[in-house]
Amino acid sequence: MTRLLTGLLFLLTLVAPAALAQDGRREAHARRHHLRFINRGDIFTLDLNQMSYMQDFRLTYAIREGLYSPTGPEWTPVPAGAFGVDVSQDKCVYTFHLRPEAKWSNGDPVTAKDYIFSWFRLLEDPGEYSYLFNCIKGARAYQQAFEKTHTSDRKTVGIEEVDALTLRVTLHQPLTYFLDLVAFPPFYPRNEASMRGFIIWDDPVKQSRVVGYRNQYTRPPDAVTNGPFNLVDWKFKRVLKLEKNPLYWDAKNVKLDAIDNIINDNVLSQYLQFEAKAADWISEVPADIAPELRARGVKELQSCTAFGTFFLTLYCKPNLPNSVMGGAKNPMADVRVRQALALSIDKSFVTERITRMGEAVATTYIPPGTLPGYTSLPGLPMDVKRAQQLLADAGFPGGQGFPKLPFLYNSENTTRAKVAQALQQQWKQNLGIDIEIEAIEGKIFRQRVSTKQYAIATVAWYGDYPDVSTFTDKYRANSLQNDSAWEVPEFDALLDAAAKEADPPTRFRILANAEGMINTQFPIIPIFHYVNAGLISDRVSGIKINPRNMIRWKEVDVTE
Amino acid sequence: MPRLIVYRLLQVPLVLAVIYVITFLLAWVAPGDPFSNDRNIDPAVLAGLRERYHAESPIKFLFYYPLELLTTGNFGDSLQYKEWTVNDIIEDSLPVSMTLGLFAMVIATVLGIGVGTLAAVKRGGFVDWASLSIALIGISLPSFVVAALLLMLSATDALRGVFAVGRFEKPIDLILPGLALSLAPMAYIARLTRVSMLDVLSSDFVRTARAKGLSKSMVVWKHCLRNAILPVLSYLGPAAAVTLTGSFVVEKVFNIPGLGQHFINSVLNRDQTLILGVVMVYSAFVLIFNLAVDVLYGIVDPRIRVGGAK
Amino acid sequence: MSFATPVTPAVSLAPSRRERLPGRIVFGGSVVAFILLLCLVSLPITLGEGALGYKVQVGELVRSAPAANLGGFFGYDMLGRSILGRCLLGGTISLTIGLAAAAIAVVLGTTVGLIAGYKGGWIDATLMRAVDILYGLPYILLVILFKIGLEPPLTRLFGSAQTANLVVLFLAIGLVSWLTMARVVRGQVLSLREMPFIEACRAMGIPETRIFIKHILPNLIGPITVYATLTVPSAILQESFLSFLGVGVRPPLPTWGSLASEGVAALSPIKFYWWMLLFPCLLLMTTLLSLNFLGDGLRDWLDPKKDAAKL
Repeated sequence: MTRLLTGLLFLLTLVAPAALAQDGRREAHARRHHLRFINRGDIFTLDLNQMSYMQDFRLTYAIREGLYSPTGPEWTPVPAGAFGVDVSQDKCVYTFHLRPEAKWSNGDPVTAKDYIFSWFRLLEDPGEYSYLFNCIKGARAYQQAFEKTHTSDRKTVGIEEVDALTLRVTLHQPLTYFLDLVAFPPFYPRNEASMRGFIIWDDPVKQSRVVGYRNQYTRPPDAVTNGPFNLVDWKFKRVLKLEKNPLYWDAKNVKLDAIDNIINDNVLSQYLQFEAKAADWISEVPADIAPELRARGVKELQSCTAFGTFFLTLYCKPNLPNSVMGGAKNPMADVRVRQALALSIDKSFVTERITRMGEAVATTYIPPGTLPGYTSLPGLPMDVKRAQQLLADAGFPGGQGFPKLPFLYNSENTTRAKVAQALQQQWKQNLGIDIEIEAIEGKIFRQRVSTKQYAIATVAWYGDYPDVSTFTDKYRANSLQNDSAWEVPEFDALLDAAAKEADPPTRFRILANAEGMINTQFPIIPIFHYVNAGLISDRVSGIKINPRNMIRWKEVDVTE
Repeated sequence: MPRLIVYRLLQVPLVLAVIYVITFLLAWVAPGDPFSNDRNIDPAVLAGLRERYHAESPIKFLFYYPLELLTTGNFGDSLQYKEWTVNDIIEDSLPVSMTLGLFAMVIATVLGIGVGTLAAVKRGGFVDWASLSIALIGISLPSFVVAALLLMLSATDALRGVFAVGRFEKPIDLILPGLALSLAPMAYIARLTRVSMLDVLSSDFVRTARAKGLSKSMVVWKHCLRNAILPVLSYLGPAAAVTLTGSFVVEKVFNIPGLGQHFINSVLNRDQTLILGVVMVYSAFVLIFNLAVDVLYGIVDPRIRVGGAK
Repeated sequence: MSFATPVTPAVSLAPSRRERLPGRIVFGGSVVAFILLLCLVSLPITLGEGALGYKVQVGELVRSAPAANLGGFFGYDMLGRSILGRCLLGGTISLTIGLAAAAIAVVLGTTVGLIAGYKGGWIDATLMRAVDILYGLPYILLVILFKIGLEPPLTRLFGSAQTANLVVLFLAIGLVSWLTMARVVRGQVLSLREMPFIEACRAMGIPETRIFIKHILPNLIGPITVYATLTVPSAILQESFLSFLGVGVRPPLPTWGSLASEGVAALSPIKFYWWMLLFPCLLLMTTLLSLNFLGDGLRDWLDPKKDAAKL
């Protein structure tokens, strides 16, 4: 017995030091200019090709920099890695002049070659945001040719090096928001020399073709970056530590000395950490706790309408997919049924009883007020009488004969679980129809929605770049993201017309008409517009919650 | 006996190989794509990712990774946490889980044997009832409730500042999660000890010892416990293997970067390389600990040969 | 490779000279019976509109604390549903899952254990190695993989997602619960086979099937009952864990586990909706405690001197 315990305790002393990696260095350090913020989960990846999650982008803004940088209050792009740009008369050729004093964290100058290397990575090893490059002349064709033959002529693409510090980009047609794109991380440069050790060859012996780079190139000490901060330590699932980059060209205007990105998955312990002043900022306040803080009027809680909408997506083809009720006739192919479903929902029940963050009830697809200069056409408000009439007109008076459609959501999302149950009740009460809630595990949910094997599903969409098209393009007939299988030629024609339009106000008017089609024909039923919420201690300055969760790290500071 | 140990040791790789194949099949058959995320992915992107991770087909996957494992000892890159290899993740999180697990096992063993013995000595009385009830609460409430309540406890005014939350750096950070983790094994150990103690207490040698004039506590704690501990020992093997490889709930509630979270997350992410990695670690632990227990058993009680249970 | 567990409970023959039922069995048994009865009797009401949440009164009822009326005795949840109603309905489902898992464990475990123990030789070796391998796999990972893998095909088979979900839960939890049972039964059969009275039966020329049914099976009922009783609480706990992960029973159907995990989600230092956590947990704990008491009591009673180890 005693021996057994001694043995266990002995083992404990052996493994404990490895586990309790204590870091006393910073504890003694003054708390000034040192920000500690909590992220919900670990960073997925810091590789610019594969990046797609908000927290990954947020950190990238701290450690990397592109030609332009989004700057508040409207998050318009201002020169960063470039000090200026010449735009041709036809607004198709952009000539960027790179800042000569810009340096990599290893001391190398940042040159046009670094941008070209990074941009071609996205064409040759495509990632989720490669499509953003389609506006550049020849880029799409290059990507497709490369995919087939693994070799293609770079001269056909409108990305050229004029000299070491000058980069020329040629577009197909004018694009009002091109500088916004350039300020987005997939357009940031990379230091090729520092990544050579991580090449994945197609054949380890012959080494003829680069398949990609192992993501480990983004980890310290190998990471070479060009932003205001350097990533100095990354402890998996614990913390990412950033320190001010002394070589950064604008280092004198960077206020913080250090940033700790703490990883904490647990709602309760996140808040307790904040309360104990062990963290200065919770970047996304979870749905379980935010409404309580709001109800209590906690002053550190900041929120604003997000650049994203929660909606139901409805399958629109004449017959349901084979895996759903054996491919029976789809009542939702009739626009009147979709309208009836939409008009009978009491969306305020969802926002007032479930989400409770002061979300705006959505009658439009695009969150109002998030795009300067753009106004959506008004959508349709709740109208149970009209909904019942529409359903009757479509051949289901009082809900009679309406099939029991499955309502899909991903089961780990507790908000969606509650919304599903609330809507089930409302449709039963208001239209007399029954639906079956089908909660499925997240990955299967993704598979079912992306292969369009569903009838009704809860989904969401956040805009990528500050333009209407980031929302409307989703419902083009041939769009990869068109989950509803809603194919309307007039809608596509409006989008095409808008793409050719150079005058911004006219373009917005055309796009508003296109969005209006979605808002009234309901391939989707918008329920509410999300709210971004953060808990920010009053010790922190320079962070303001905004629709796209943007941050300008240079301006952030912490006082005691 | 040494021959039997060698024989059992030789079986380990065989069993591990079978477990590898079974896990691979289960992980591959489960619907859902490791590379999918919140948006629909361009088929070209998906094809690129599959090529990169040798996941174009199950056959290729099954041939590439075990070969890599045997030649280099690597499980490959995690499909979800793309910056990390499965080996990185295991090396980083296993010591954390082991530290916490060992700490919990110490608590569980000491308290469990203590409570169990006490209950046996006072059989049928109030102490028996009370101590068993307390021990059983540990396995009568879901661990996520117990852990969350302990976390809330640390935030009460009386304890505020004593235990740091959401952190795992100092030895004091072990206490609450360790306690939460120890409840289930403690309850089992207490029950086992009680039953086996009752058995020993009614045997002849106890009567003899008492007749010789030895004090009751001397007899119980010195003589009986040594004999009563055998079933506990055999439980400790698998229990230690489970506890030392981490608990999802305790790690999630206390934000501990251990291995336990990966048992669930890897499946939910369909991170097939990581699934295989954690399962192999777990299985190796189970096999080795059981072997160790068998050997210990042979030492403690020479009447039992290894393999005697067959 | 086998566990050196002394899972070879001695054979308890002649179930005659028994002391009176120990308090634990009476207590545990009656509490479980009472709760089960309560859940079943209230089923017509709870399956109706209240607990599933139709006809919600929007407004004052939402998340309100316990009130004096019957439906509000345990308070209301976020969607304005009576927690008492949901606890009772959840109890039915939780207990059903527990019993179904125990039934699967009994059938599968007993069959495998009997065959292995009685046939011996390579059949025994193969079956027991299979059991060892399954023991070497982390069970919760198995449960989730089973659940994920089986649900889509079964949904197509039954045509109803809700039914498929429940069946898969029974199967997934049951399929990982039979291992201990198989070992116990096998150990028991092994020691029975060597018993003088079985030898005597053989010598008398009684056919093997008859020996098996008349003499071996009755002696297995004790340990099987004990382990079946102890499987119920562990299956209920496993379901609660799945609910916590969001892969348990589908809403709007509740279980004690899903109610408890909703309660935990409503736990915060800012506002504590205590009734959402307390009542489901109280019921869950009482039931599991009673079931454990019942199981332990049965073991002591059927086999007073035995150190049958429970894994």
